[in-house]
Amino acid sequence: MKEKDEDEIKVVVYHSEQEMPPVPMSVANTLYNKTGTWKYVQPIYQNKTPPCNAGCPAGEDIEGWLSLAGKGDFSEALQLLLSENPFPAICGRICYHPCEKACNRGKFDQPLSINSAERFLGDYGIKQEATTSISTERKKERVAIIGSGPAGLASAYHLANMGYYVALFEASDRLGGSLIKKYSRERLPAEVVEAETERIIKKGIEVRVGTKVGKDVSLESLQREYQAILLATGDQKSKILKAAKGKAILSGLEFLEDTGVKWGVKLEGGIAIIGERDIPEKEIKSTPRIMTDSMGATHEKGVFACGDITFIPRAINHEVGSGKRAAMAIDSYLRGEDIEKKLELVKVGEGELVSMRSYITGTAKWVNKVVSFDELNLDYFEEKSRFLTPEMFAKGAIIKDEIAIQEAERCFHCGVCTQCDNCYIYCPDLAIRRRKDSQGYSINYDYCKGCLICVHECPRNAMSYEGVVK
Amino acid sequence: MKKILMGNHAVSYGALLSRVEVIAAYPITPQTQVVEKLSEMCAQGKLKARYINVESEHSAMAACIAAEQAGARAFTATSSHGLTLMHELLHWAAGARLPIVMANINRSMAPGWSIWTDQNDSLSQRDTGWLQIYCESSQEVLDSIIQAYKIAEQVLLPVMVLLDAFFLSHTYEPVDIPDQGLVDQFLPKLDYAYKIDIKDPCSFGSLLPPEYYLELRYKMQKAMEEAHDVIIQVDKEYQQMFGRSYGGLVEEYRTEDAELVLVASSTAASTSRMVVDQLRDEGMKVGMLKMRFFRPFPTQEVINALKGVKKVAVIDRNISYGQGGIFCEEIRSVLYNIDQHERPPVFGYIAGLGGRDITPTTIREILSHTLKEDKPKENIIWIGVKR
Repeated sequence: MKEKDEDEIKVVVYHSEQEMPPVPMSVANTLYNKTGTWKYVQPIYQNKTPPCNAGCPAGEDIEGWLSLAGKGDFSEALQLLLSENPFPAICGRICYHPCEKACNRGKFDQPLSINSAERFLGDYGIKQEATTSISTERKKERVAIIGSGPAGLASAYHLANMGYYVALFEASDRLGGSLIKKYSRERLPAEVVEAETERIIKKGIEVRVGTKVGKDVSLESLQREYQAILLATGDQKSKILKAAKGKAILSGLEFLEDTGVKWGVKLEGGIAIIGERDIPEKEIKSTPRIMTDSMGATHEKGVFACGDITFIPRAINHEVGSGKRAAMAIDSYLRGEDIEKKLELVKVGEGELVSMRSYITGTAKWVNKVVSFDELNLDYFEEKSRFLTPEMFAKGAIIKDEIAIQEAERCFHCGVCTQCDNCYIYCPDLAIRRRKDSQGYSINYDYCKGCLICVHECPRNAMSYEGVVK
Repeated sequence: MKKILMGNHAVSYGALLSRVEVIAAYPITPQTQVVEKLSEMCAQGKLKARYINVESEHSAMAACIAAEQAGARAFTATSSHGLTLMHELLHWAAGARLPIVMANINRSMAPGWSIWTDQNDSLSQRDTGWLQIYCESSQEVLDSIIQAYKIAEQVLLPVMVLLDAFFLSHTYEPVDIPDQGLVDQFLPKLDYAYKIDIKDPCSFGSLLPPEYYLELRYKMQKAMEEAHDVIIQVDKEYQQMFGRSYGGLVEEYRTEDAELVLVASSTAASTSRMVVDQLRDEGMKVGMLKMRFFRPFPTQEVINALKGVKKVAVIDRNISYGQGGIFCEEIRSVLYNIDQHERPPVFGYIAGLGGRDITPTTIREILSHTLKEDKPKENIIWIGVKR
């Protein structure tokens, strides 16, 4: 912990009053007294998972992009958002936003208007024709993705970002899958879908529309040509059968049958079954799903699945997350690595959510502990109702930048240090210091008495504590 | 240059001439004009000082302590309850060895509410480690403020300059205002050796364990003892430069062959001076010992002035309940160890509490009572109590 010369222990002993200054002042220092030995609890400085992030199936760093948006840096906020989810404008319109339910501010006044803020940033991205960077390293492996719905597109996006050659097979003549079939134009305009799809395709993805795998091209031939295959055909049977009975559309189930993969049959390394617990018994037979491991690998080597064909709730955010998990699984598979070993690193919170940034950088921004409302120090927050609401979009209002900034500024930043200096200021032992690299603070445990004032005064639980220290 | 000044403004001019750098004060009757004038001087740019408005006298002294610790010459003024509210920090200022100077207008303590004079407010601060100068005239007030800084900055102890409420604080007298250039020569800019220095950081006033506390208190008492000679030296230098002397710690007035010596302080000394003159004219061998300094106590001066005198009468405008007049008790105390045959009987009179007038008639009454009695029959002889 030694930082400066004055950190060296200095002791002065006087033998007569004449040697002493007349003033009660320090002439040495108190470093000999390692008050850290007194403690039985100690603070831990550690970013924790904000509940919004833990509540986002797409695995967005919501707190992170709100923080940047709150500083008015929309461009960086968008980039951070796009690093996890290529569809902010789409999600900003159709996502059921469980993040807002998770938001701790909801127990204080009103949750952050995350969904609307995402829409604001997504629209900003479309207007600015924002692009995202891709890896400079071009990889030799080729990946075939079958199905261009949100999961397939999300996976294509992440794989392309990683430098893979990606071919996207779409049976219909248009990209988008459920994005263009499932939602009304009022709710999700075609140009928004086109803009965000286009941004993905521009990354050099080969697009094969009107190409039905199993009919126009065989899976075997794809397996010869591509090192990994991703099935992202969606849950076509239940919906399509109800809506367009008798039409010759290949459902997930039919696809599986055509390619020889049987659902409901126990196979070595994994099984394919139908149904999910959320679906009533009678419907189970009509909702075929492929059993995969948590990251989307099927029992068959080199074949992965994501999206509604797998066991996920059928919603855009889950589909984006599923596509991302599959992209990670494929990358790990092609590198000959075990994705399961990276799970702890890439996990967000305790569920299945994953962070692409953690995967790419190899470091996580937070530990998986999710910060609860009770762990905040509310004395540091004042009540403020929403500045930005979904109704403003419905009315067609033009959202001023200031509104978005003010809304983002409402964020408590649960679990994430904002370098407010409270811990540094309140530490009675000067045991907390600002780090020289400006990356927050360090705690000198030699002198920290474990009074936990820093923990109490941290508004957002970035400073927490652990129990008995010997 | 002579001006007609009220006692309070004499304080302000003393601070102005001393070029104080920080003033932190809270107004209180009868001190208000001191700080009004100072704030005016600051506002007009005559005095280049930082004037800090504070929310209490406790904060005023705290601000002065911080300013002085930072190496600035600090000043405040207060009275009565304001002074007693400062009590904790008076100990701090002295213990930290900060040469702060303050004026206190002696005003009685409540209840009952009184804005009039007696000395109980400042004498209750006797043991805080502050030097105390009790003044008789506005001229002495102005001169004492300047002298106080010179003394304080040499011995590193704070000094309190005291003046009676209304009798001095609100009374206008001609006051000679010394030349600023001369004062600057007499009192150079403060160079406090133990000031806060960010280049050499250290903490002040933190935990001092039993192995060193006693030594620092020993040094404080030594500084008080050293102050004795410093006070005399400063008074001499002041006389050489400005032509006025106050005798250092005490002033003996017509005591050379006196058989009865009256001991008085503050404005009562001024009245006593007149009565002594009258009685001398009437052929009585009386003199007066004016107690200018109460801390450090002028032990040797008191012994020199009173030993071998037939009788001593002490007028106290104060009381230590359960004992007696405070000046009287301390005077008796220092006379105890002199030879018995030289030790005079000391009559202790308490008069004028709460601003009751001490007139020439009061003093004559005290003196005739002392002449009449061989020895004091009571520890306290009360003057003017309606019984």
